[in-house]
Parts: sequence; C-alpha cells; structure tokens
Amino acid sequence: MKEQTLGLLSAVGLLLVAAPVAAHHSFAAEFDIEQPIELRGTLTRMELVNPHGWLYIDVENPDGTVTNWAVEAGGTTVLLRRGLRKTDFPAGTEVIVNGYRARSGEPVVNGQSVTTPEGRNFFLGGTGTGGPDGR
Amino acid sequence: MSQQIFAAVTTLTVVFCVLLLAPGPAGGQAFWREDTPKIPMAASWLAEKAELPPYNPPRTADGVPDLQGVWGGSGGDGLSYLEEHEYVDVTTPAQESFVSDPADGKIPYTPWGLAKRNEILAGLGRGWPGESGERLYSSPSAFCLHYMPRFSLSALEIVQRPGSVIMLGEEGYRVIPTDGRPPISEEAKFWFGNSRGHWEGDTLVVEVTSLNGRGWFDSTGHYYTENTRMTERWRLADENTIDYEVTFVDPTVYARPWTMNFPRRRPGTGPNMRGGRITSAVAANAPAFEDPYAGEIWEDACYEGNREGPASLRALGYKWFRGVTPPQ
Amino acid sequence: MTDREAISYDLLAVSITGGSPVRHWFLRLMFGLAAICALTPMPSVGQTTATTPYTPLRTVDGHPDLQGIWQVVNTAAWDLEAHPASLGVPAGHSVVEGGAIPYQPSALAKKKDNFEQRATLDPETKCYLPGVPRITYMPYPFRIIQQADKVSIAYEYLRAIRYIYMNGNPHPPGPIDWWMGDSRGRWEGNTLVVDVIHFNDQTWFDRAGNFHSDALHVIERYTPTGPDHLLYEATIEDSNVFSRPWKISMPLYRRQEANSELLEYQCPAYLLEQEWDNPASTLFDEH
Repeated sequence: MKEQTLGLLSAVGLLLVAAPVAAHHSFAAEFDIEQPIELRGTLTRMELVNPHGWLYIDVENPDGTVTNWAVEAGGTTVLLRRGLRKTDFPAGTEVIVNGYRARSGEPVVNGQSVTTPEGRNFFLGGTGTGGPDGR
Repeated sequence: MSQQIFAAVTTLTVVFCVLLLAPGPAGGQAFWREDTPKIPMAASWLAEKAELPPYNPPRTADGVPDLQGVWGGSGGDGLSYLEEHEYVDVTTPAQESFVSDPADGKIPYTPWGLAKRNEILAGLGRGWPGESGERLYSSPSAFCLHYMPRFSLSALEIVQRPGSVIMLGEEGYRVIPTDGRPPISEEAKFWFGNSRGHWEGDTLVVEVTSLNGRGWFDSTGHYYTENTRMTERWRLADENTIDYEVTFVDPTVYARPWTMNFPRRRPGTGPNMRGGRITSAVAANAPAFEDPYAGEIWEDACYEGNREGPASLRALGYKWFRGVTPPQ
Repeated sequence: MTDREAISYDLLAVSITGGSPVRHWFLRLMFGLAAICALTPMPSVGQTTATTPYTPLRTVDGHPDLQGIWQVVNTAAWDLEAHPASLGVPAGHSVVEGGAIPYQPSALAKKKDNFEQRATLDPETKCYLPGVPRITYMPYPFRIIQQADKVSIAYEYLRAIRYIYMNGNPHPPGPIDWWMGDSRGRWEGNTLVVDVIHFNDQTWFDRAGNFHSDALHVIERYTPTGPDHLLYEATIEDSNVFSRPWKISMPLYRRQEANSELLEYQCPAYLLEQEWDNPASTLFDEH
C-alpha cells in the first residue's frame, strides 16, 4: 500500500502538467506578446496572492532615475504547497525578469521567467533551502 | 483508521490538488507551444464511449448510482475557445470542439445571435485575426466571477446525501436538490441558475433554469441568455469515468437545441495532456515532490487578489458585459 | 415520585388485583418500577431534558450529525457588542462573554477610528471574504456537509466554501496570509471543534470596526443542543490587539422552510458592475 501511495505521489509531477483548470484571465487582452522585455532590479515587495502573485522591483533607468515595475507571476498556492513563504523573498533580493509588457504602457509585465543573477529560478530557489521542508 | 483505508483515501485524494491547481505547469496562466497536438474533446470522447461495454454502477444506500468522489474537469485549453480551432496564440492551442450536436461542432446561433457573437469576438482586443480594433468585453471569468455552465466544466468532488447531490469545487460549490421540489420562479435570475435533479435509470438529469445570461461559455464570448435552459446528464461510463453531457435550449438566440460532451476522469486515470507547454514564471520543469496536503483544497481568494487585472482592463476601455438582449 | 404518579400507581395496582390493594412486596416493586418507567420522561435520541445534554443523530461515520442549513438570528453582523439602533442598524445585546471586547489601549483607539470611517474602511463594502467568525453570522444561510476526511461549510454569502480538514494533517507551517484562515477540526464529545490560524489582517469582525492582526487565532465550537439548534461559540486570541482571549456565543437555527436552499450572493459581480461606469470610483485604484 505504501509503495503504491509513493508511486502515485511521484506521479504528481507528471500530473502537474495535466489538463489545467479554466484560465482566470485574458492574458492577450492585458499583455502584448509582441513586446518582450527583460528587466533587472531589486525586490521591493512581494504579494503571494491568487490568481497571480506579484513582484514589485525597482529598476534603474538609463538616466539614473528608478521605476518600480509590477511583475505578474503565477498563482501562489503551488508555491505555498512547496513550502515557500513570503519570508523567503526579502526586500533587496536581485532578480532578472523576462516577460511581456502590458498593453496599457504602464510599468507592468507578465513574467515568463524570473531568475536570480546566479541563474536559479527565483521562485523555487528562493532564499530558503528550496526543498519541501525548507522554510 | 486502518492502513488499507488510509492508503485508499490517500490514493484517491493524492492528486486532487493537481486537477484544481491554477492552470499551467506550476500555477498561473498556461502558455502553450504551437506544436501542441490537437487536444481531443467531444468527437474523440464519443468515439471512445461507443466502444465501452454497458456498465452497472455501484449504488448508494438510497439505491441511486454512486457518483461520489473527486472528478477532473473537461481539461483541454482551460475553456479558452469552445468550438474546434487550430493554434491561435500562446493561450489557445488547437482543440476539437466541445459541441457534439450539431455535427459541425458549432453553436447553432440564429442569424441575430451569430451577429452578436461575432461582434463580441471582434471586440476582444487580443490581437486575433478579424478583430475590429475596438475593445468591447473581456470574459467575466477574468474578474474572478463564477457561474454556470463553467462551474460544471471544472474539476470537482461529488457528494451525495438523501435528497441532494452536492458538488464541491475549488472556489465555490453547487447543491442540486433531488427531492422533487419545484425550481424557484424564473423572475429570480442567478449566475449559477437554479438546479433541480432527478434520476432517469442510471443517469442524474439536472435541469438548470433562472440563468442570468451574464456568463460566457469560454474566453471568446460564446454566450447564453436569461432565456436559456440547460439540461445536464451525469452517468458513470465505467468505474473511473463520468459521461457528462449538457444540452442548451434558447429559441431567442439558438436556432435549435445543441449539446456538449466530454468525459470526466478520476485523478490518475484516463488520458492526460502532457507537454506542449512553455514555461511560466513559476517554473515548468520543477521536480516532483511529496505533498502531504495533496488531497486538500487551499484558499484561492481570486477576487480579493485580482487587483491589477480589472483596473487594467477598465483603463484600456473595455465595457462591462451585461448579457445580450435578443429582439422580441 | 410525584403525588400524581403515586395515585396512578395505586389505581394501577388496584385494577390489576381486582380491587384489593397490592400487599405482596414483589408486586409492589414491579408496579413501582413500571410506574417510574412509564411516567418519567426518558431522554431518547433526538430529545432533551433540562439536565441531560442533547444526543444528536449520527452520520454513517458515527459522528454527531450537524448537517443541514443553518442561520443566525441576531445583530452580530452589525456589532458584536451591545449597541443602539440607528438608521438601517437594529439595536442588539452583546454576543461577547463579559460584554466588551478586551482591546489593548492603542488598539481601542484604532477600533474607534475604524468605526468613524466604516463606510469606506469596512472590507465588506468591497465584497471581500469576511473571515472567521464573521462569515458565520452574516445574515445569510449556510450548509454543513460532513464526510470522512473533512467537514465542508457552504455559505450562501459570496458562495464561499470552507474545508475543515480532519484527515490527521496539522496546520501547514506559516507564515500564510489567508482571508478565511486554515481550518482543522476534531470531535470533543458532541462538539465539532475547529482550530483556525493563518489569517491576514484584512478582515473585520463586524460592521462596527472591530478588527484583528495576522496573529489571529480562532477556536470555533459547534454543539447540537436540539434537533433544530446548534450552539456556536468562538474564542478569539490575538496578542497584538487584545489583552486576553475573549469569546462570543450564539445559537444557530435550522432553516425550517420546505423549499429552503442556498441561493447566491455574488457580491463582486454587483459591485464591479456598479463601479465600472462610475468615473469617480476608487475601487480600481492601484494599491
């Protein structure tokens, strides 16, 4: 029984790419896939909410001023299930964001990948140990 | 609890969360690759169903078929686009139609109804071919609103009690009285309508009236009205599959009744979509992990967290969808 | 035995013995026992006496059956403490044990601020999830559904659903900021005890500005007191805001109408529609 249970548990990863629930929002109405962008900045705030988590990063402009960008990420519950918490993402952390700009022209991006300067996935790497027991 | 029962409960619920996770490999918007194989839907399911032997379902203590348990939803592209289509963009992969009748897989709108549908489609502002360039409406689901029939297309847990069939979902639920009581007056309209169920042989038949016509079937603006009546049929096709069928009747916008079909599978059974996805900001290729809370649904609070989306759509000039008003 | 019962006993004895008073000790004993049994109301399943607690029916899992549609009938939704009437607000007694909520001094000042600005600050005005215990005493019905691994409470208000897990899992580790917290349940006798933590600080307890921090810890108790009544109690702890734990209690009444069902209150839909075309709306302001 236990082997069977563990076998199914390890299949969770495969099933994570199984058929999704209905999409919450119209990505294409809000964001423009013809406007990819890369941003480098430091984290000022993070909101672990649904339907999308949000990172807010200070990005230095070429003229030396700073703009605070909002980066839309994935839903938060999956991060919570993996043991990640808001305390794993302290302000000041450096991030690199690749994504698509909002059609409105506001400093808002739909984040496709968010990494640390070392190249680790920002969400799964975090500043904790990153494993299920890492807090 | 005995070891066997514990393992059985764990087995049954261990991947419950997966079916109810936000779309995408690890949450968030699903982004699809262009080479994703065409996702099967009504036509493939009906072909599979035709080959199934007759099935005698287990019964509850009340003597009715036992449909209880956790069931996957329609799957596929997350209700992006109901009719058959090829790859359109990263949120809309190729997929068969949900519609089985009429045979061409298209909702049989009246001429007025079709013009209205095309008007909505042309005003989505998503950069799709044929758009007018004007922004009209976005899907009500973008505002975290919940409604029928969309709720019925999601993963859910069925619980049966004397006189009721209860459907528990990630954010919401539905209670279907089966005690023979009449529906509420049609003067009272609801996002979920008003449901009444009864058994016909091994099939749970649910009549849904009092719909308010404000919801969309999908993200492209296929719509119904406050005159629409739905009839659902839920039946166990085999021990791990529910045969779900729903028929819509509305002479004010549909030239004739039309029907959708798809199967619902217990977690871990039946074919599942694999691959085809691009990464999203919460990693695609995350390794599997043991989740002791896998059988639990955790808070979504979509509306509470959905701050930027509605503000952005409003700033872009979208209008609020109030349903369509067919001519008399 | 009461006088009335004693007379009945004598009449019974006389009728059986054909007129002669019963003298044999054994027959007296038997008649006495029979009289006591016939004349003393015995608590059976589903009944209450003044001194014995109610014994509810049981589910197939052997637990007390609390299932059905319930609703409060009081003014807690407006104000947990005793309050006068005002336009649109009914007067009410306090549902707080001891009467007053034991705020720390600085928190009491914030409560008063909240009250003054409740028309704009109350999260209910934005159709947000009301948290626990407020969702229990919103003036809308809810339905309790019991299964082996969980108790589900389905609320008409916002079509909210709470899953109270009883599967052996502890609370997941924090910090987690949920509107409705994380609920874990257990049985103590006939009482469903629900432990709730992992709240955010965004909800209020009522429309009068009573509030909490994200350290909130709520312990709910649902106890059947009769076939159509539950006693609902909630103990509230929050060391950031209150000087000690405090408790509310109120009956839950089973809805009696044959056509009773949960309809819907999709508040966000009504609010968004109203505000969408209002150029002066503040609902969509960036935070």
